Amino acid sequence: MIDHARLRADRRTRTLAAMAHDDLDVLVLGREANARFASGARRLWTAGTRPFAPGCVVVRETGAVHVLSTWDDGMPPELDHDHLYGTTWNPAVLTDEVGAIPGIPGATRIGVDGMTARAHALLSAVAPGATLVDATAPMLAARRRKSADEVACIVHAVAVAEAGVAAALDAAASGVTERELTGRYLEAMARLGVTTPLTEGTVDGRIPTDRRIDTDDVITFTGGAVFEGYAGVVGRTRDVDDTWSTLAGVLHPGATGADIAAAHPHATARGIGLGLEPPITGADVLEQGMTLAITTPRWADTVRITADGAELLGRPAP
Amino acid sequence: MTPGSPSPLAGEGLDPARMRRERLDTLQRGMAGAGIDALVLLGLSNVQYAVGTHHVAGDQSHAFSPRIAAVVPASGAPHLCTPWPDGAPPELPVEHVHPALDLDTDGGAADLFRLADDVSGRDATVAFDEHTTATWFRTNGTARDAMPILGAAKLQKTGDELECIRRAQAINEAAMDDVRPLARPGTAQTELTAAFQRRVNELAAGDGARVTNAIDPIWQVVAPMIEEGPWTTTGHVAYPLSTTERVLADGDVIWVDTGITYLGYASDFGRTWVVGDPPRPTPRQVDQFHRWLDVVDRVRDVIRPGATAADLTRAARHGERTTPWLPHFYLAHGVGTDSAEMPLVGTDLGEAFDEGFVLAPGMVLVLEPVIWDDGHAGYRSEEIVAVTDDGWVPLSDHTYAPFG
Repeated sequence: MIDHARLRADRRTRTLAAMAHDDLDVLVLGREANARFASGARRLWTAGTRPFAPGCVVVRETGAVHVLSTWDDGMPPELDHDHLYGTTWNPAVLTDEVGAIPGIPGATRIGVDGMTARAHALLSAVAPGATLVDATAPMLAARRRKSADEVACIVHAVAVAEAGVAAALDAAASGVTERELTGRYLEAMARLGVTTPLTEGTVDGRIPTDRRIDTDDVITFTGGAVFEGYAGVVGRTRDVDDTWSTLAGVLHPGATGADIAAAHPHATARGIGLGLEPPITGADVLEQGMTLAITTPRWADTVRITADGAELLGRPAP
Repeated sequence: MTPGSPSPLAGEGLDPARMRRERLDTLQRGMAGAGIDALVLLGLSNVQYAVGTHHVAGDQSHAFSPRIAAVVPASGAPHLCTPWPDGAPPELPVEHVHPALDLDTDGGAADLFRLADDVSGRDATVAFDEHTTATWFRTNGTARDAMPILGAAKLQKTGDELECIRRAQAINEAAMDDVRPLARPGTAQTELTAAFQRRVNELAAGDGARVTNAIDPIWQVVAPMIEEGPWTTTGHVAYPLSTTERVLADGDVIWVDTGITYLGYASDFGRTWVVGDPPRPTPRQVDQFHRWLDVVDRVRDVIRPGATAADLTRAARHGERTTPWLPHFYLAHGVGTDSAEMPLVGTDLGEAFDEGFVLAPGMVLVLEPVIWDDGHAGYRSEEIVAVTDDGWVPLSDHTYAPFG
């Protein structure tokens, strides 16, 4: 059972701890994953990238979280209306809105997770004495080890993704085009209440085409779902039941990216949580509480590193 | 309301290679005029414009890492870093297609800067569209801003670009013909999304062009009174709100808004539906629809090269007691490789901005006025037009059912 209030409170505590650790007076977050981690705000899902903009502001002195949103729908109940600032097309209006947030004008160290020329002009105007600091690494560190509530969200996302991938592979058996697999996969996930895919899905690791699939083709469909911001990744190959179990022996606290590569030369491992996190390569060390998306040419799974090993956050391949 | 002559902005077929060549020429002319030797592009819609590459669409977090990026030199073909080499345009030399970079790391940023140096030389003047922290702190904030060049290049579309928007819209609209009958009492919003996603990909299959979804489809039930809906900073209607598993009820007024892309160009579908089996709009709702249509007709009547954005807002407001669009949005916006881009008409950029913005051939306008009767909800739909040499042509063509 996911306790959303507890989940948000825990994330806010971790955000403020990261700010204290790096001596950041203010965080100005543009990445949706970071904004969501700090605030719990759910905003409209759009595909692709958005340029950096001050979408969420956290002030360490007051502990206050401020969010760019014209309405309170999708906003957590602890976020007061005077902590919302509305979307605008006018840079001068946005400058006034951000400049009016208590704690911004006197800030000396502001952490950011991206930048544009326009955003730099804005921040220079509202906090002329501040030094801008890279907050990408501190935010990723705060997000790395997942709470039980976060894992529960990922488990839900994985279950939805499994249904989507299964629907795509079922359709493949009936002789449709690769592109139509995307439709079946998205359809199945939406029927389970999740209209926010992590991706539109790949066929054999590439962009689906208009090729009509022969009913005896061996194809791999890989996709993912996003539930309450948290992502789960699943990839399956029809009639191939190989999954994460080939790597189970090497996934444990203290193991490195090099260990994973040695055990499976075609496996890539990334952190996963509020979307994708950085890859685990070389000397990167696994820690208890991390969640990983592991992808190979024939399967993909989402796993959690436990005290002494790893567990699959989904069902084993049939 | 007689549309302008369609030629030369429509009906010439679609040549994607020509489209890409002309866009690159436009960008490189803009770079020469601004004294910029190379563009480094990280924004997906900007890479799409400069290179014309395909990708697997996804959540913002997925699109970031490892991400698509491009380097555009002063002359010659662009360079593309991508996890999807199968999506590179066929005419792009293979030595211009590079592996994707993790631009959230110093190593990835260093690789991108090395590529820019290789392409344009170490002393080149480089402009970025946006930055990760790794690229920003590596430039020490000294890089130029690429957005003015991109904005100017994108503003007036070629016939090929308009055809992409028209095809995106045609697929989106055709899918809606199959979704609209499902908006019955007892259907969940998410079931409409399921049907839409499946149908879009069925319709796209066989076309040969890449089609992706651009936004979580919206089927918002609009409360009759503003105060019954979510609180807003503007005091007006909260829209658009994310889709949930809310079950539709007889008589619900829903504002639909969806968007897909065709070769990177966005559609923008907006309609008001009434839930019912069959749907039965009230006389008051039908009246709202006709008032909305009047606003659209008045605005289209003044669309031509030389008209200002303020001419459009004046035409929309003529005879109305209240401003007939949402205060946090606009009367109209452009569409292209971004779902909302210039021209922006009637925004909080203000009247002086609208007075100074002059329409020209090839600009695209998505008209989205709103008629609101507080206590009785309202009517909102969208129509897309392209400015021609002497008027406009429609890029959207869809029924207003159940309003006639």
